[in-house]
Amino acid sequence: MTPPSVTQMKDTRSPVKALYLYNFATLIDWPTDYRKGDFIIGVYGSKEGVYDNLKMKFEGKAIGSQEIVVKSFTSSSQISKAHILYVTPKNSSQISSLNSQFKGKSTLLVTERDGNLSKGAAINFVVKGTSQKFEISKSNAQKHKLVIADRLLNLAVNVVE
Amino acid sequence: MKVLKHISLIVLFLSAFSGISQQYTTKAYAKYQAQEFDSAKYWVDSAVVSNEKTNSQTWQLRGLIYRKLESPENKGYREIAIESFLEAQKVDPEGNHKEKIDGYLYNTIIRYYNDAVTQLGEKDLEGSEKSYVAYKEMYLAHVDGTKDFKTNDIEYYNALGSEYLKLIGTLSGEEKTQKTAKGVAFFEQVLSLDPNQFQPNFNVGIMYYNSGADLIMNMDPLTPIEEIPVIEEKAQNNFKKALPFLLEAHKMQPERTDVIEAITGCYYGLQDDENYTKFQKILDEKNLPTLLEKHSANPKNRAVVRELVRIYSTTFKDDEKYKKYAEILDNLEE
Repeated sequence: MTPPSVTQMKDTRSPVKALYLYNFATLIDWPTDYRKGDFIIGVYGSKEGVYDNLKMKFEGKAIGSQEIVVKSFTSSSQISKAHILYVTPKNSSQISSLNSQFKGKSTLLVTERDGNLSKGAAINFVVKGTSQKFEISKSNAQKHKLVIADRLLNLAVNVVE
Repeated sequence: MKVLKHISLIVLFLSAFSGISQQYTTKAYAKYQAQEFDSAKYWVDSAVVSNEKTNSQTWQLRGLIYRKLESPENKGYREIAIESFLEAQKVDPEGNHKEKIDGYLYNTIIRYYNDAVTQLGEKDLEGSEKSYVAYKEMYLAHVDGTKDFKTNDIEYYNALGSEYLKLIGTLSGEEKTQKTAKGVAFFEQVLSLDPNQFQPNFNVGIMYYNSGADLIMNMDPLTPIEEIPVIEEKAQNNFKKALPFLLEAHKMQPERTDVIEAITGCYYGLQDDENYTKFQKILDEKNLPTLLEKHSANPKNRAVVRELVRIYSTTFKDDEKYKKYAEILDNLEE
């Protein structure tokens, strides 16, 4: 009897986060000057997991009339414009400096570290029980001229006004 | 599994069919010897509706002839052969032909088992299961009502479950779900007979793990946000089901890295970082030397470099090594 082949362990967290990020893009309004050209989703951190999933499943899809382009950044100095910037857990401690860097720009800063809403993130991924959730800071989003749909706010585990 | 092809011995009829009272049987036997089986069938069928029907040897011959004529187009002939041998027993109350008839029955009934094995090889899994069940029923009814099939069941259902495991790798959607459930049921059947079997524990665990992981990995990119937690929960239910089997398998063979990998995957999917880290560390300790060797042999292997980046940034935190491999990875991807 031949032993069955074993499927390798799969990264089952990243597809969930990538899908949330795509949904964020569809449920947030960007100001007019951000509604032309490509829709850029940046990943600040290692080029794997969430980046791979975004690239594979969402690049080329449209947000309104804009085409999604997924970019990877390993240094904050490389980042110029992005509609969404997902900061990996390893780099999420840099939220304060990133918030300063993107002051006045309409970039949705999404992080993955407890307490980051108070440091400037508009959305922060958290785990509640065994489930991947997110929390939102409306005021941080407003500072970047971003309007978050009620549908998204209703799904957040925590909304900071 | 060994394929046991039981070839029936053609037992010569020692006693000649002579005399007017056995004329149909005699003709049938002559045709049988001449390998003219259709003609033999004609004469033997005439014999069993004549006064020769009380002769055990007539029924034995009928069984042999029908068994010879059995083919994929005439599958029912096997049942007729068995019925004939049973009739041969019935008209032989003294048991003068018992040994011979028992042999005929065994060699005919074993064909169901041979079918089950052949169908397994041909990936006709449902057909194989039916044949195996028929074999057991027939065996118990007509060969030995006391036979214990435990060992056979363990071997057969392990093999059948393994074929389902291979099959589901090629399927998707509802069909995959259904076949996974069948495969799991067969392995669980084995475990109900012997819970200390490594392979079915591992296989059930893997089937549940893969089912859960597939739900996540194959999510439609346009899945509405409200659906994400629903899919996540379904996947996690599968990881929860997988864990007891995988942990049992790990207890039996703690060195198997594929088992550790699947356990790690379950805890990772369940967001149980404490256990995930524990098993990931065991896995990384085992895999690191091989990964470093692979990297030396082929520095451009992206998957290997990625693993090294992950290991040095999480399990064995080493900033210097992390930066080194992260830079290599970055260059590979540019």
